[in-house]
Amino acid sequence: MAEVTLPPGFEQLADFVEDWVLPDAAARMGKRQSSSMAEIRALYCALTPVGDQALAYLGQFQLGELPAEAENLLGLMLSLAEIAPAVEWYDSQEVANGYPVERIRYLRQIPNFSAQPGAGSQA
Amino acid sequence: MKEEKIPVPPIGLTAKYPELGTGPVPTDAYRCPEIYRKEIEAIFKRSWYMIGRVEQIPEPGDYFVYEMPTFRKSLLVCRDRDGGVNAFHNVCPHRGNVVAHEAAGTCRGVFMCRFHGWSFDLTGKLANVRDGEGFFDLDRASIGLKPVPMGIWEGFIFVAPVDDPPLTLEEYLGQQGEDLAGYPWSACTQSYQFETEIACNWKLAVDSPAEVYHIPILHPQSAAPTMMASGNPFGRLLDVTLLGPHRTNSHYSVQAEPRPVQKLAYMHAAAAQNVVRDALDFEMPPGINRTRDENWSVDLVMFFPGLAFTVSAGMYTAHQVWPLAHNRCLYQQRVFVRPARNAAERFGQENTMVEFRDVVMEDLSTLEHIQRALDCGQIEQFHYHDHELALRHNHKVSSAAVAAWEREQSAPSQGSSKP
Repeated sequence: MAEVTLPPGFEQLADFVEDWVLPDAAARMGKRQSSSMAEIRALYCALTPVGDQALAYLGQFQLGELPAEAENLLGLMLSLAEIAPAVEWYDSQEVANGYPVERIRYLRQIPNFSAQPGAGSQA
Repeated sequence: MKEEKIPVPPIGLTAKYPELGTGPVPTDAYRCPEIYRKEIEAIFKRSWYMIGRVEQIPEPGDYFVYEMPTFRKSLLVCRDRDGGVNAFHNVCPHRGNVVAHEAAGTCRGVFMCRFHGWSFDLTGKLANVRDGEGFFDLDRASIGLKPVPMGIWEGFIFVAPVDDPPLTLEEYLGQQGEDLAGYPWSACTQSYQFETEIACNWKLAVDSPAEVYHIPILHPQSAAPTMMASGNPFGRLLDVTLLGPHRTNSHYSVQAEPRPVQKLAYMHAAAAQNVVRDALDFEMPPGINRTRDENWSVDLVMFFPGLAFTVSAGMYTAHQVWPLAHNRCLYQQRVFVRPARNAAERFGQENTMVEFRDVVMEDLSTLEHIQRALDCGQIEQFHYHDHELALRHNHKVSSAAVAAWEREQSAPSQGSSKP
């Protein structure tokens, strides 16, 4: 496979890219369900401390114009959003005592990296 | 902020509406197939349904197909060359096949049935009949795609399931609809949509987010830290407003210390969050946060029977509950957020959707347990708390609609009357 790249300063996250940069929200939800809490915590503990820097970096770019390494970083951050409740709320992949999330069907999703028209001129 | 004493919302909501009573409520209407059949006639055939937004079809030729649950009708919604939005039955008048075959797309001006090749333009007119010579006195002007009663409110596309709906869309939405005008509905152009089929009566699914008496117990880690923080240990509502068959709950919240990932979203990607309190770029309409409480967070705006919006300053959601049987329903949820102004805000959108989805999973967790208890007669009454007023109202409105319909049916026939 092609060499995985991340922006300068985030190279230490490279091992997560293959597993956790996923095509859409439905795939991220499935990945959370099928991962162990150890795997989920590993991602959480690697990303959360550099989350501020990652979002400051991503804040320089418009969606639709992301370099490949920035897409990888955003892809990881989108997975962080998916797994955060598993760590911060439930201590479990599943919603504690919840309705089974695998019974949810996504009919519409916001694309990971595509331009979102109408955000106004302020960037 | 922490030292400030924030008043506990009081008991006394139900007393504003003495006609609803205070006693226990019988549960027949949640388990009885015969009552369900009457509800379809008395309520569901007389209502309007939100099936999408105009932004889904921005250009002429854009279309989407909506498979309408409950009524099992396939509908086709498209944008015509004059910019108008049209809704048709997605049924070829020749032999009944569908004319739009994909869930959504852009057509080049005609929809063609893939059975015998009849085609129709964007206004539904019959465009071409293959080998037309072989038909007998075909009245081409009158044979087109059959329109569906359709209306647009604040960019939402609504349809009615019968040819002659007893109420116009504006009449259906009523005062509550008027009071919501001006909220930036169309600014939230990005959306997620998901659905799930639940083995419960439609009213249970509608009722599930309609009270927050459950917040500290059902949502201890997720919603409770903000909704019951500080001066509101029981998670009480700020207000409930009943307007005809519709109703709105106003929710209390104080800013709690966010969890680490939530904090990232709030700090870097606030545009998509539901916690934005200041610097609004619009004037809050009268129907949202009616009491103008400074500890307000979100309203649950419910349109009877099955549509509800959660509306906050920065984003909103919309769910539609579709009955499928007396103990089965389809729950469709949409999460609308503003477009991301940069790539960091894309993270905020995802965070908002995931948090909301997981809280909904907590809400839905009780429903099939309750339905099982209902179906086998283990619970014959519900006892409603003062702040479960919306549920008492839902029960009252639905049973009153069925009773009125029964009176109509037994009255000497003088045509149908408007409800």
